[in-house]
Amino acid sequence: MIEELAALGVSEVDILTWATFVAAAAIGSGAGWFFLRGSPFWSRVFGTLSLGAFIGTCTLVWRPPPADAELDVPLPERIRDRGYASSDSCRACHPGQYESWHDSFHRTMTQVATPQAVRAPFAGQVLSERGRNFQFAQQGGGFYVREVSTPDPIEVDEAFFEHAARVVMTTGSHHMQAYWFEAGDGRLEQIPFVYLIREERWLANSDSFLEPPHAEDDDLVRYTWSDSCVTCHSTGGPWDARDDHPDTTPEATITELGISCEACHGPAQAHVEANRSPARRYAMRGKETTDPTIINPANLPNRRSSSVCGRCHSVHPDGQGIRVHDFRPGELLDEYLSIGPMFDMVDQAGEIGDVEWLPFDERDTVGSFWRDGSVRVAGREHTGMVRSGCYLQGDMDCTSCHSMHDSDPSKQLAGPATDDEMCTGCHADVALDPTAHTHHAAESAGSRCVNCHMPYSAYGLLMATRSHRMDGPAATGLGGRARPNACNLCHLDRSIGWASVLLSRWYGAPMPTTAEREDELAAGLHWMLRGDATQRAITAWHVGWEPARSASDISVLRPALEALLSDPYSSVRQVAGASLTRIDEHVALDMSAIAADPIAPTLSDTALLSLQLERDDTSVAIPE
Amino acid sequence: MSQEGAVARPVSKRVLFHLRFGWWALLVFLSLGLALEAMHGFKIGWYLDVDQEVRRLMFRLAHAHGALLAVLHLAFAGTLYIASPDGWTTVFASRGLTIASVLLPMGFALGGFGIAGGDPGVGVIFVPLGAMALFGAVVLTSLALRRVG
Repeated sequence: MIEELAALGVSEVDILTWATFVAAAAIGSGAGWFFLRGSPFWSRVFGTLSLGAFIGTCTLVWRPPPADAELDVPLPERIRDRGYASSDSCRACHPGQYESWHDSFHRTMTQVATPQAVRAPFAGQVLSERGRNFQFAQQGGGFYVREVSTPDPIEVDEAFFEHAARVVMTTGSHHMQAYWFEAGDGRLEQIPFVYLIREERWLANSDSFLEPPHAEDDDLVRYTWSDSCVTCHSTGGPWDARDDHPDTTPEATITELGISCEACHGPAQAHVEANRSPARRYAMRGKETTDPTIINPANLPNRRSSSVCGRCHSVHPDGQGIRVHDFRPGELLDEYLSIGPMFDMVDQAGEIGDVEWLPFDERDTVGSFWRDGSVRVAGREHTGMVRSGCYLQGDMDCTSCHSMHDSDPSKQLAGPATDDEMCTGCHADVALDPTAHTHHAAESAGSRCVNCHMPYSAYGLLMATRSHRMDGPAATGLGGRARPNACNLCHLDRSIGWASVLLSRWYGAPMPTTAEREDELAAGLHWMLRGDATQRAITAWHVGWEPARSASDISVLRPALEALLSDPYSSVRQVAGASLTRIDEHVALDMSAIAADPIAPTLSDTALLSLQLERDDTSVAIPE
Repeated sequence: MSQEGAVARPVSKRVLFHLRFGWWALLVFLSLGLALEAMHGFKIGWYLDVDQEVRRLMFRLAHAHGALLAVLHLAFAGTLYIASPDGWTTVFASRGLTIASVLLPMGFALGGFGIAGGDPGVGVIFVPLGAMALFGAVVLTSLALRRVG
């Protein structure tokens, strides 16, 4: 009943309040029946009332078993152990925080595959990749996938479901959603396709990452939940619980799906136990000291506070991802990851454009960075921030700009402050006369702090994302793995040489190398035609970015953007296609076809064609 | 118009007290109900925001308990008038009911101020005292009625 009333918008508290009254009526009527049982009339009246109220109470408080209890396939084992209590325990005392977390994409990062969670259509269609065909179907509240022999759908009947695997979990709910099924030996394996939520289309796993084109007979990209994903897409794990809990499946054990309260506040069982006492709770009120039984990242020094987010939002040096399993909020991430040595390695490789020249165990790590040491993979914000002056010389941490409980769910930017106010809180002198500092009109995009100091120079999920290494713009961008600079990511039709002169004149920046200073080619053309795959993808995204469209002559860039539809990298083609539809609403593209194969080259300008022949085909892989 | 031959029984001071208390309390707590509805109507964040859930609960409980206890006073007055129980149990039941009718709604209402997380304000301490007084009043009334007739 609670579920039904909740669906109608009645809060659970309302329902339980009414249930309390009805229960009180049941008890009162029962008492009336007891004391007046000598009177046939009143005993019947009170007896009937008591029975009715009792049934009413039971109806109000009855709730169906949770949806996942109906699943007959193993989920990752969820055990409240090792000091974890789960988010259910937090709700009673922290309703506001619980609610704001409940609205967040952190909560829905991994969910049981219920009809409410699954965003993709499982409508009997067949998706094909590398010669393998998968048919998707739904039956009741369950979602199924079955490998079939041909791209033609087969009939979805009882026989279909007998040989189909049931989808048990989803990961992602904001931009992209992946699906997990039980692979037969307790392992959860990802369906080799993801669903793009906003675009409402399926996409092969390999086409969702920025990675070199594959051969048709290559193996499918398949991920196993317990290999890596479990660490950051669930809470309280993973750990091998077989010693203490012999009934568990071999799959890695966790406390809760998704990123819940204890991912940031640490194991909360001791806190829950201690605060069962109302005397303790009321005694804690108004005290300056924080509750020692729980971690509040807002009260930690900046390095420890940002380590909480950094556990997942950072580059994990090769082979060290497993170490963060045991990290707990309140600790320093440096104790688990070799962050300093990683930066040394990255800096030493600063002149190397092609990471294939590096030793095998350094390639993935160095490949996550631009040559200037900035991260180029989305979702690794902590790694960028810890090299910023604001962090190293100031008190900045993630909560300086972001809030988990007082923000919109999309970017989780803190409170009502604008982007600029987050910076000018410390850099007040800039706020007094912004134009003197920015050399752009005060209300323009060029005067927004983040557009120069946190440009969109990281890539992931088919889009560019902001760098979290707060630094001043430098006229970089020539050569492989060179980071596109903030000036030219907006002024795409201007050259890097043009930017270097202005930066030197305005800020006294040292003039860059001769090649960059004398460069006269529009940076947008340079990166889209001659750049490596990351530069091409990021620049293609910027052509569709409104401030860049306003500041640049798009007609100069459009031929190069259209040429990217024939790029060997599927992700580059998709990003270019999305930007094309943004700059020209009359363009209609079949994005699924673009994702699958390059379309015929369209460059007719010989000058541009000769530039494209110089394309940097260094192998790039951005695993996000 | 009274029926011919019907004899009006005198109304005792205690019955009159509970009738007056009941109707006035009903007026007060129905007014509180109107105030709560107004806060819903004007979407007052102080009352409706998610993290004010405990305040909302406390005020609703104050309103509900106050109104129901007001009705209980009327029922108690009717019980005294019809069954005419007497003795110390009735006196203490009357006092217990009156005390409960003050402490319970007051405790809930005060509990709505100074909330912290899922906990009401310290004023909620009056609630268990009021609940005990109400429980005693009900027990005493029940016992008193057993001796009637």
